[in-house]
Parts: sequence; structure tokens; C-alpha cells
Amino acid sequence: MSQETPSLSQYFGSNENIEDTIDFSQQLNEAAGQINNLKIEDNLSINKSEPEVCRIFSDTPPIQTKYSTEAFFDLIGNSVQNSGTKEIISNLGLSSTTEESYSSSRLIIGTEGDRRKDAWIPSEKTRQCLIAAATATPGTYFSQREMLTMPGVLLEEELGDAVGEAVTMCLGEAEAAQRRVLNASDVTQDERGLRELVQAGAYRAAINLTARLLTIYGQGRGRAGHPSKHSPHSLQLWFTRIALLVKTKAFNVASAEAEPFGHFDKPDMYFQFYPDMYGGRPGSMASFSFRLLLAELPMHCSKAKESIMRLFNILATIRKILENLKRGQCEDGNPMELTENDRSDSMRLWTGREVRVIHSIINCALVVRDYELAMDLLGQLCERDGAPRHALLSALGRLHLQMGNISGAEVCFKEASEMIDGPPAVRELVDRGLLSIAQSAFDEAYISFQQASHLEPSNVMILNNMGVCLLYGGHLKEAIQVLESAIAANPVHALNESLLLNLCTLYDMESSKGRMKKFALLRQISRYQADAPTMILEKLYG
Amino acid sequence: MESAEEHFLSLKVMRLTRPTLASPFPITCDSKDLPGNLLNNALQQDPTAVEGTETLCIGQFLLLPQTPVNIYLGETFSSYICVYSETKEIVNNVSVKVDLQTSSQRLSLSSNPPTLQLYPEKTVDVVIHHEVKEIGTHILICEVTYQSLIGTPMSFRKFFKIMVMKPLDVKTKFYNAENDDVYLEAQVQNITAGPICLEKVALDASHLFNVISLNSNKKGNSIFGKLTILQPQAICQFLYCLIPNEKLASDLKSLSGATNIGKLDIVWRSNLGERGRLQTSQLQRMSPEYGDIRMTIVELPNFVVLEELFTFKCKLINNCERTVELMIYLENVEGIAWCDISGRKLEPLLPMSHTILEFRCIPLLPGLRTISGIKLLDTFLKRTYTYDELGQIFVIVENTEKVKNI
Repeated sequence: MSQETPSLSQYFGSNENIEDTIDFSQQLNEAAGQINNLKIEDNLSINKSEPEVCRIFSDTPPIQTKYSTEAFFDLIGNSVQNSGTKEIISNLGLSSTTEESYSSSRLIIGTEGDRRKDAWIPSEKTRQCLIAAATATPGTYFSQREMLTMPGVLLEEELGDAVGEAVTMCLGEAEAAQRRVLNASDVTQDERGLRELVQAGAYRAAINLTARLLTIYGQGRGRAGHPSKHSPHSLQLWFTRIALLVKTKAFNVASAEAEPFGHFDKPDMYFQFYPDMYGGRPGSMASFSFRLLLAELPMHCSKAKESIMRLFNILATIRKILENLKRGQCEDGNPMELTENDRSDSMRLWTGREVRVIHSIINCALVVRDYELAMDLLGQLCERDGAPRHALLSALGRLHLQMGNISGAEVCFKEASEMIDGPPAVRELVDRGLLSIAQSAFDEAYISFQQASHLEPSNVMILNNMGVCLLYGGHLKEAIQVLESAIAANPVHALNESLLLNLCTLYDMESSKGRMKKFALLRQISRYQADAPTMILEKLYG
Repeated sequence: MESAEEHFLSLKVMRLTRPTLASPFPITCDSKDLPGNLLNNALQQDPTAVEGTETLCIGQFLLLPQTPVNIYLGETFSSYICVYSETKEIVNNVSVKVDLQTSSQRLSLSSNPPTLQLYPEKTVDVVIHHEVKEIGTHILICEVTYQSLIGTPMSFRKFFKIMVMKPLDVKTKFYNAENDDVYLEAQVQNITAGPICLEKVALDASHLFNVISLNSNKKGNSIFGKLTILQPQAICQFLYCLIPNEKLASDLKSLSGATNIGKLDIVWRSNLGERGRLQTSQLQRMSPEYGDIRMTIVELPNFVVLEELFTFKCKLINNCERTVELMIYLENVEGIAWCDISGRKLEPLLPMSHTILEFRCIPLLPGLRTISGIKLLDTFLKRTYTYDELGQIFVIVENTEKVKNI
């Protein structure tokens, strides 16, 4: 794939760190050996009807339609919403699609879809290393230690069932004993089990399971800083783990565990680094979603500026990829011929990713309250071909409201509503209500939300907003009633962090009996939710 | 403060600042990632996500204020006061009185007619709104009175401290121009903790002046762009030109005495439309000194051509109670030659009147030249008035066409 001179590998080979590298490669080989052994052991010892971890190595890939590579966000970010996202997403389904990417046989030759989704342009330094790795005689290329990614689980102990603990504390052992919730040991010890936990919302248990699974790769507890072998699967485990840590707001742990990955620019994060494994298949081993997640991570740790920088970096690479595609090259600039279909699929995927990153930058700008940047980017998105202008204008209007520019918000909402014929839909009615709130007209706002609620009686957000309006109008009891009825009607969705915060605030207003009502809420959470944010739990028994 | 537990009623107070818009933090993945669509589904089903823009954190879900928010001068202080019956009996004649004690006065914010019968677990709800007009400590005083079961009057009070802070820092600068216009430079600095959006900044001028706002371009658009967002500590500068009305302009004494310029009226909004309004106190300029005799330029070309005659006009005003007789002297100035008679006598100037003088000169040196060297001698008082740096001209070579082409 490259005709560059192999002199760089010599440079690495004749380095004075030679002892280091050799020592190190042994470790690597050992680690790889361990993985192989483990797999066999696992296969033998567990040996249920489901082949466990090895499944991912042994399954043949199911046949895929090429559209399955389309991501959720490509659809919501980049398409006019005429077909309804919900259906598309459910059509994509989970089924067997996920297994495909981690592979078929030992030697994995990338498919068209793989090339497209994994494409990335490494930094110059990394590119040189990859050329060296790809062109060296097999077995003779060793990387320097600082060029390696050496992650390890840092959380010392498994995470407990926070809801269960709160229930024990407030409602007693008997109540806690009734709680039925999945934990890491209740599911198969593989990615299928992991997905089961995620689906159940048992994020803490899922985090625990990722730690167990990563141990198989030599990346478990205490392994940070030790070399180990990466595969798309190990990186997917890490992605899942860190995504869930972020979801459970364990930002510091997430950020510490993500640290070794840096910007995913070390050579061992690319397929080219393992020519004998992947046969020269190019691309990033870490998925795009993982890359995005890590770029967003600093903003949760009060380092939003760093996030903005990283996100703009990603955006720049995506734009380079799009340029390459427009020039008739491969994503990474390789002058390889692509068929017209492949090229347009690729353009579509990467344009969608471009939009997704811009969304992330907007979110980050909002965290630091850089409204100018957020507005500017949102305005640009509105102008793009095929953009869901109606939804974006509505968002832009709310952005104006958030910063207090009422007339600007009105203009946006008006423009958005003019795009759609017929009576106002839910979003428009809700926006109208929010506008009334900005003008301190809480009664009018209530009426707008009520109209919206007639259209979608089970919409939790609308009920919540009605409750909030009632409070500002001096109707505490009615406000509580509306929120409680929302929970009663749809406990699984309504037991949402923000709604619970609102309800707790109202209970706090309502005399000393608020405490008992909070306990009742906790009982509901215990029944319907596998997990709840710590902040909520503290509110409930605080 | 008495403890509320001894009473049949309890009292809670919550400050009603604006709600915020909650949204989930979007984590998405590709269908080929390990979690498949699970995270995407979770995001979509989150009631705080907005359908169609799930990955944007600009929600529609109202979240009640969770952290205390500062209150600033000019904003409206709103509070929810809830009196709750904790007893199983009916409580009679419940009344809630809400006062606000500032450093200077005590304001009554609410005194509703008493609730004759308050049933168990029922509430008396009061929402108060008050535009704060003072900086510093305010005490919210809530007093609940009711009749005990045996009819004796009972009451208890609760106090809540509120610190009102200064939201804006306004600095002004005045320039008295030669032509009697007054220019006002007003710097508005946001000293609140968050960004604010300036909705209106206007100068309500005193009736003696007409205001021209110099903060928009010829098309009428604001020079600050579509909207004026001020980040914390950021400053925005506004410029106004005040033209004295005709009556004032013709009367130098009162023009000199017209130091009251007007007030700045500022309206801003922050979180979800929280509104604040401030009016500055009367802005004062330094009164200009005019004296008995005053001369100002009324007509002067900007560009003149080297060695070509040009003229300019001055207005000479007699500002005193007697007729003055003046001699005019034209002194040599570098680069400009007078084409006039120096040392001639002017027509007598009646009290409180003016005349227009025309001067003719020839520029001798190119470049920026200052008109100086005009002297007037009051022959009665033997007092000399010297007028230097009356104005400036730019002397160009040949003609303007060529200069423009350079």
C-alpha cells in the first residue's frame, strides 16, 4: 500500500532503546499468548450452549446490507425527517449486525463498509510509523514504548447497586430484598451479556462486566501502563465502558481511564500496525463514536476549551476526508478507485459525521456559554442542503431564548412554523410555551403546553412543563399532581433525572411530609429502574 | 425566630428564578459499535431529548432552578411562599403577610385577605414579585397569623436574607464639541456572573437636547450585530450625539448652564428571558466656558489646493450686555497667507447678537494645516481674544482628482 522507503524501521530497530523494545515485544507476545490461552480456557470451562468470548473470533459474519453502516446520528443529523427516525432506527435493529465488525477469521481483510467507517488520517509522525510497520519484514518491527497505548481498568472495586443501597437505608432490608435487578453475574460473560445489561439500563453492572472482559485482554485492573494487544473488540469494550461511565456521571474515572488512549493517534490504534493480522487493511481500530466520546470527555471535567479544540481537530480531519472523496480518492487520500456507489455512500457517512461533530461543538460551546459560537454553527447547519431545517430553527429559537434574546427567538420560531402547513404540531406548541415563559406569561405557557398535551397525552416532557407552569402560577399542589400522574402513567420513562429533580423540589416546598413522598418515589425507582443517578438518590434520602 | 414545629402551620419559601432547559448528554454510536443502537435508543427515549435534534443539548424540558442564582439590581425578585397545614384540625383565619426590608425602607409585598378556614393538608400559596431598586442586603419577612383551636391569636415569622448585587457598571464620558453638540460615550460593562443580552440601551435626553444615536449603520442595523451579548466582564460602548435645541443654542448662558444631559435606560435579559432594567441617575456634563466674546467656525473646507485661494466663515457672538467694538488682527501663520486686511475695525456688535465673518487665505505648504492667528481686541476693555487652532484644513497639491487616484 505504500512505496515509501523502509528506512524508518531501521531507525527504530537500531535505536538505543533496543533492549527496551525487545523486552517489550516479548511482553506483547506473551500477552497475545495469554489471550489465546484464555479463549481456549473460556471455551472449555464455561462451555454452555453459547460459545462465550470466543464467539467474536469464530463467528462468520452475517451478510450485511451496505446501509447498515449508517449510524443513528447520520440519520438525525443529516436527513430531512420525512420518513421518521424512529422507524429507521428500529429497522436497523440490533440482531446480528454488531458482531460483524469484530470479525470473521483470524486474518481480517476489511470490507468496503469497514474501510469506510474506520477510515482516518493519522498524524504525520504516526503515518511514518505505520509505513515502517507495514513495510518491515514480518516480526522485525517493534515500536517504542511511548508509541504504545497501554490502558487498564482503574476502578478498584466493582460498582454496587446504588438504588438498592438507598432502599436498604431508607426503606429497610425487606424492601430492598424485593428489588430485582440484573447484575454482572446474571448474564453471559460476553458482549451479548453486556448488551443485555445496557438494554436493562443496569449501567453500573455493565461497567463491572466490561472490567471482567477487559481482564481477558490484559487490560483489567492494575494493567494500565503495561503493554497489551489491541483489537477492534477490546476497543469496543473500552468504548462501552467509558460511554457508560460518562452516562453514570463518573467523569473523573472515565477521564482517567481514557487518558492512555490520548487522541487515538498512536500507531497501535491503526490496523496498519498489525500487517500480519489485518493484511494491510487501513483505518482506525477505534470506532468513530469512541473518538468523539473521548474528545467530549474533557468538557465534563471543567475543561471545555480542550474539548472544543479536540472536536475542531476531528472536524478538520473529517473535512479532509470529504475533500479526498470529492477528488476521487479514498477517505485517507489513497489514490484507490472507488465505485460511484461506494463514493456516495462514503460521502453520506462522513457528511453525517461532520454534522454530528458540529453538534458536539455546539453542545460544548453551550457548556461554556459561548452563545456566539453555538449560534454561528447552528446557523451554518440550517443552511446545509438536506438539513432538517424545521427542527434546527426550532433549536436555534430555543438557543435565543436561553440567552434572553426574545425577539430573535420569535423570528426563528415563526420561520420554523411557516415551513409546515396545517395546525401547529407538538414541537411548535412547546416552543410557543417556552416563549411565553421567557415573557413571564406562565398562564399562557400553560395553555400552549396543554394544547400540545392533547396531541400527545403521554409525552412526559409536556406534562413536566405543565407542572412547572403551575408552580410559577402559585399552584403547588396541582403541579405535584401533574408530575405524579406522569410517573404513574409511564414510570419507565418518566422516572427521569430531570423530572425527579423537579418533583423533589416541589416536595421540599410542601411541608415535612415531603420526606415520605420522596421515599415513595424511591420505591418506584427501585421497582422500575436498574440504576439512578447518585445526585437523585441523595436528594431522595437527603 | 420561633420554631415552626410548635405551630399547626408550616411555612416554606422558594425563590422563583427562571427554569432552565434540560437535555440529556448525547452519547451515540454506530450500529456496528458494541452497544449497537442501545445507547441511541436510550437517548431517543429520554424525555428531555428533543425529537429530531437529539444530539443537540438545546432542550424543551423545563427544569426548576436547582442552584441559588444571584439577584441583581433592576431584576424582579419572585418568590413562592407556601403555608401548609400540619394539623388534622381546621385552622381559622390564616393570613400571610410578606414584607421586604431594605437598608432604607420596609415594603409590603403581599397581604392577602385571610383564609377563613384552612383544612388539613391544604396550603395557602402566595407568589410575590418585586422589582429590586436597591443594592445590598434585603430581608424577606414572612409572617403567618392564625387562630389556635381555642381561638387565641397565634403568629410566627420567618426571615430570609437576600443579597442584591450590582449588574452593570456604566462609565460615561462627555465631549463638548466646538459647534455646541455634546458627544456622550457610555461604556456598559456586564459585572454579573453570566452572559447577558442587552435588549435596549437608550439615552432619554433632557428636553433641551435632541439625541442622535450613533450605534447603528446607515441601513439602521446595530453596529454590534444582530444582538448584543455581553459575556461577564465584557464592555460595550455606545455613542450618542446631543444637539442643543434651537432655543438653547441661541442663548449661550443657558447653553453653558445646561449640564443635565439625560438618563441612560438599559434593559437586559439573561437566562430564559429573566429581565432586568436600570436607569442611570441624571448624567452631568462639565459646563463649557464661553466668556463675553465667542468665535466658532461655521464653514471650512476639508481639502484645499495649494496656492489657491479659499474662504472660510466664522460666527462671532457677543455674549455680554453691552455693544462691543472690536478690532481684528490677522497674524502670520506658517503655511497660510491671509488675503485680508489686518487691524481693521469691525461693525459694532449689539448685545446678545452675532455676525458672520468671512476670511480668505492662500495655503502655501501642503499637508495638514491649522487655522490660527486670529486676534480680536475689545477697544473698550482693551482686552485681547486670541483664536488659535480654530480648525484644520488639508492642503493638497494640484487637484483632488489626482489625490483620489493615488
